Amino acid sequence: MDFKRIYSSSKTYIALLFVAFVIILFTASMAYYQIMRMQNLAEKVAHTLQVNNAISELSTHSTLAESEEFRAQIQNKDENNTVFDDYVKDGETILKTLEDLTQGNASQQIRLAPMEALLDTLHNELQALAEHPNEPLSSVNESEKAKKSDIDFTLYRIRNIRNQMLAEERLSIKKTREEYDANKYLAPFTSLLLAFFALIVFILAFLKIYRNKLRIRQSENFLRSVLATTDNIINYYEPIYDKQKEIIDFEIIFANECNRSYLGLDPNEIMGKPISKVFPFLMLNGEFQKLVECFQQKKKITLDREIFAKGEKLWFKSLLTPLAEGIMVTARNSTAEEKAKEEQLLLNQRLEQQNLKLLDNRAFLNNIFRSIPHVVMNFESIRDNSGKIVDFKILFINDKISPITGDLPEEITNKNISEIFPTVFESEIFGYLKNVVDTGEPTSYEVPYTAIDNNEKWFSARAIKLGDGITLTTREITEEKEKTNQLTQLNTQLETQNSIFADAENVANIGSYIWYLDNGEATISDNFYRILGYEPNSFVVTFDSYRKFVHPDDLATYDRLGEETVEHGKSKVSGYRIVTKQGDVKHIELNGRALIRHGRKASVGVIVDVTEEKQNSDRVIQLNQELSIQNSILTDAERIAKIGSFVWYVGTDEIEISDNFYRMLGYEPKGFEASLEQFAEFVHPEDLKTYEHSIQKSTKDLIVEEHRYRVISKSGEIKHLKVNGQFIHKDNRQIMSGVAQDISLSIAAEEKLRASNMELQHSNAELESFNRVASHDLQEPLRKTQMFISRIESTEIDNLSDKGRVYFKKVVNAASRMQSLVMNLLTYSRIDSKHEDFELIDLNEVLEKVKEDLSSTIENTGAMIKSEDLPRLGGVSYQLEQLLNNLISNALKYKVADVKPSITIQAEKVHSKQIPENFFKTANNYYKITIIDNGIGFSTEHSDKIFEVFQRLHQKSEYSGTGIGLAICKKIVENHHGFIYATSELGKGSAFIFYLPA
Amino acid sequence: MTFFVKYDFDLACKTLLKEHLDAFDVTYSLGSLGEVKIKGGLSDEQRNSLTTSLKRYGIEILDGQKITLVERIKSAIDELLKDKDLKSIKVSTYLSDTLHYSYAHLSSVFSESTYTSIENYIILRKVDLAKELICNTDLTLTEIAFKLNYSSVAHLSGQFKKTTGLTPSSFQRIMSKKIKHTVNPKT
Amino acid sequence: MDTKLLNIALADDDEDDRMLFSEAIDEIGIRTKLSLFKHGQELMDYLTLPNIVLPNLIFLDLNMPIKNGMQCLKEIRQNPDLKDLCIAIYSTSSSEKDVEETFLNGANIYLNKPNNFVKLQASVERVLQLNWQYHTSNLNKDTFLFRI
Repeated sequence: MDFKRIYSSSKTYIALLFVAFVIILFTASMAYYQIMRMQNLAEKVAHTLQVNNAISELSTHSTLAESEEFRAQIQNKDENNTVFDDYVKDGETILKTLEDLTQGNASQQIRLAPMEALLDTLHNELQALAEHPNEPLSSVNESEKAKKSDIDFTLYRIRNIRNQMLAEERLSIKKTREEYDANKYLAPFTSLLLAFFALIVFILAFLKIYRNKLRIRQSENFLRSVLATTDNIINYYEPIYDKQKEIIDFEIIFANECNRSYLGLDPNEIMGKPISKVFPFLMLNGEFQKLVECFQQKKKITLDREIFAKGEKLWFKSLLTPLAEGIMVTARNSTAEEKAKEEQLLLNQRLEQQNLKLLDNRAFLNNIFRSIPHVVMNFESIRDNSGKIVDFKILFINDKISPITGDLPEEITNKNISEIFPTVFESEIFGYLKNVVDTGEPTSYEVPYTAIDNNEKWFSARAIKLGDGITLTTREITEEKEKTNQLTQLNTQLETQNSIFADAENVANIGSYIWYLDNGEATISDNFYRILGYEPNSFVVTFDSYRKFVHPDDLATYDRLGEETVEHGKSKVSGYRIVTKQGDVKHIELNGRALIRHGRKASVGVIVDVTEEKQNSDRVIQLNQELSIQNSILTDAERIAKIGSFVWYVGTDEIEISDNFYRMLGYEPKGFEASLEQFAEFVHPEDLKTYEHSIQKSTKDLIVEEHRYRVISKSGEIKHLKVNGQFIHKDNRQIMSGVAQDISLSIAAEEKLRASNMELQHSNAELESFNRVASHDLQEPLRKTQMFISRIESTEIDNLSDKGRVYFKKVVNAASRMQSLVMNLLTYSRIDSKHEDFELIDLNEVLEKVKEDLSSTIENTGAMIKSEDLPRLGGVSYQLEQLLNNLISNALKYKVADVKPSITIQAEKVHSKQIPENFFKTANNYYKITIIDNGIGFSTEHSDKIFEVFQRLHQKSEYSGTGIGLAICKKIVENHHGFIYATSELGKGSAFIFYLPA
Repeated sequence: MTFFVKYDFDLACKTLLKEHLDAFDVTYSLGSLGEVKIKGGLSDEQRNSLTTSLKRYGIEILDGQKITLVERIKSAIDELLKDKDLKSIKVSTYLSDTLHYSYAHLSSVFSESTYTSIENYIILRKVDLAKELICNTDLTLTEIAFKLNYSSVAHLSGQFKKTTGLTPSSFQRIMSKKIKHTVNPKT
Repeated sequence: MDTKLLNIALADDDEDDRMLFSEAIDEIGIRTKLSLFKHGQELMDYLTLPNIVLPNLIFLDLNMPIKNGMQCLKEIRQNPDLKDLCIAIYSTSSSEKDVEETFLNGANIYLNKPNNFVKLQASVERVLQLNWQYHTSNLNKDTFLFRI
């Protein structure tokens, strides 16, 4: 539980106060009650005393009355009667008083009731006594005596009642006393205690309340200072009601200093005034309703509006907060913010406008960029850590780049130029660009670039520094360049031509001249000088000075030439003869024309020394003959190659075919009128469709596909033609020219090949079936024969005669030979060229196996087998085993009698080019394995023969063997794409060498 | 689905034996060479029920002293081949020391009962181990040869070929094909 | 073994071979009971009879009429009752293809028919020995492959 809260809560104190109040009330009532009780007791006591007194009086009275009677009786005086009456009256009064006193006490009343009667009786008796005083004493005495005893008795009864009543009153007194005793101590003590308690509570509560009040005052001060120092207006309003309890206005209860600073209102003045007077704007625009709403519905409301104060517009953001019996209005001056906002807005608008303008400018610029033929680029330098320019980033590029590089400007913008122009670092351009940025000096350069269309184009570029970058304007100058190039080329060409001309003049014996017709001045070419037998420029030429070279017989002609030329600008004279310095006569032909040169009429022309030509005309004839020979050779070639050429004017019936084509069709050249229709008659009827189809197809597609058809020649011979050709456009006509080859022979060869292939397949199948036959069917009877031989050998041999035993031995040998033959043949045929089982094989392991297989023979012969480290190579395991086995067992078999065989196996890796032996080499490197023995050897002439099947060099009886072993070796080696051969000399051992691909 | 397991034959048999012997209220101990010692012996009834229950697993209670001896010889040989440390020990010495009979006696009993000499049996057993190593491990032939105490790969290959008629490599090839063949007989 | 009869079956279509085989078996000092079958079907019919004593060892010729050895081999290996039988192929063929194929199909021993009676005896004896070893010793039947 949170005691602190309880302890500090003012509610607790209010409760305590309430409790204290209740206690005080209680105490007061208790005190009042006690006092009342005391009062009662006192009254009771007094009452009792009165009652006692009355009773005593009554008893005294009765006693007095009796005694008076008796006194009167004794004195016999009548005057006594008056006293007695007084007594009676007194008695009645006393009784009356007593009755009144005992009014509230029932028991006393009951007791008192008979009293009246008794008093009456007493009075009556006493009366009676008094009326008879003169009566004889005796008689009187007697009645007197009775009367006296009656009075006594009555008195006694009265006394008795009195006593009873006294006892009753005494009891009452006693009771009251007890009660008083009981209340006497209690009442003051409790009152005191409670009063103390109440006092303490009051003090505590007061202290607390006082402290709270202090605190409230503090916080009030604090609040006040806050309110004073805040830059928000904080006002507190309380509503003003009209008679109908409607809120008609608010009174300003509190207003802080800010009212003054913002609104120019003295807070002290406006406090207590209605807002309608102070802030008239609050009554407008429904703001008053807002205030009312805030107050009535106890909810916060925010207002944000512009008000007009102190002659200026102010923005206030007001927060209406319901508080106690009114509302608090906190208003923040947001004028500055709003102004800032407005300014921002204005700025934005301005920026937007500027942007639009910029966009316009940009569009304008873009239009410019688009409309100009220049490629405009803007690069930004990319620098490495040391500040060196390593690349440029493309910031802008116009669309003129697209036709050149194929890039779209958007795609390459922001990329590095090295990405777009990967060769930029290789050329000097990068250096230029860098230089521009570094020095700020604009640069121009020209650069070739291979554009996207693979044409090399020339560009002129100008680079200007812009910021830390470059604006590069590039213009295509290919055409200009080309023109320049063309000009340069033309120049060179002309130069070359000139020199060629000079040479040509020389070679062709041509000379040229310019002859000014006005005064006969002339210039002649160097060669002209030479033709005349002079060094070039060795004399001044004029029409007349030249004339002396003219052959005397032709002078007339020459002069005519001069006249005609001067007159008409040209002459019909086309040649004359000259005599050179050396005296040679030369035939000259000339051709000239008139023109105006340097404002002067001139004749420009060429002369040709045709002396030689005239001499050579014989040779030309000879050449012609040679050409015709060559032509005929071509024709022969056509004939030999069985080729005929043809030309077809597409769409017409017109064809031309070469002479040999005629021959191919069995005719003499031009032996018939060649036309398409005519030609179709030669086509084999079965191929006519194909033929026509191919013509249609090639006419349609304008492509001739190689096609074949058969023709039947004049002699009825069927010829296969292979035709190919192409379309040519010539003299506005579509022409198909082509070649037809007679391939009858090669077709026949092909068919032959196919047939032999079939045959081969057939024989392969046969071979396979042979394999099966050999492996099973052939072996079966043989095996059984041997089986029974072995049976006879073990059980019946003793029953044979000696001769029989010899024969039997031969049967045994033949059978075993037969078996090894079959086995070897089988092995031989099984070595096929399938390579599926090729694997990496260690020849050392193979050799080990072979040695193990042959171990008994090796032991028997005492052979020595030495081997180098053998390689690992790809091959078929069992075949290589067979190979080594056959070679080694051969070496063991063909040993020199009485000599221990010695076999050496060597291996070496060789490059195919180092192998002298001629075989088809598929690999670069080969292993050369050599097996050398010291056996009987063979003569070199047999070195090929030994690898053939069933070729034996020895008698069967000399050396056992089937003659297949080495053939198997050869087949195995060849199957491994290798080569095997042997070298030997009779009696000097042999060496078997094989190469296997490494 | 087809999958393959590798098992320790010896352990499997011993576990099986234990399980079955535990079913009888007898005290027993298992010797290393397939020998079972039972305190107090078995009644005929117990013996028969054990015989039938073990028969299902191919375990037989051997009768006759000779057969028992042959089995003990075989087990001893198996132990010998398994234990590398015993490699250097001569087989005859080892067997006679282990089984407390003269080697000549053991040899004659063995040959008489199995039609094979102890030496041949050892070769067969070694080749069998080699087969197992070829099939179930990635050991090379050289490693197998070393493991089985052959002087060289050639020696192992030779003995393998001589015994099985196949070279280790062709045996390996056939076995690997056979596994594939078993998994998918159609290929 | 010395007390039991060894049950052997031979399926071979060649009468001579059957004769030679039984002679060879007779002359080996092992007590055997040899059943002979003329072809594969006959063997299979016998093996699938109810309540017969299955042979310990079957010799199968490959090349037989009606049902050849390879078919028998496959059937036997696929029959749950027979699949554990020891099978020796007994054939003339020495082709590697045949050898490999029979091994792949579950043959244990491949025996080439020898061309010599003594060899036949030796071979048969060796087969019996191997079978016996595999039958009685702790040898791995999964790798029971021999070529003789």
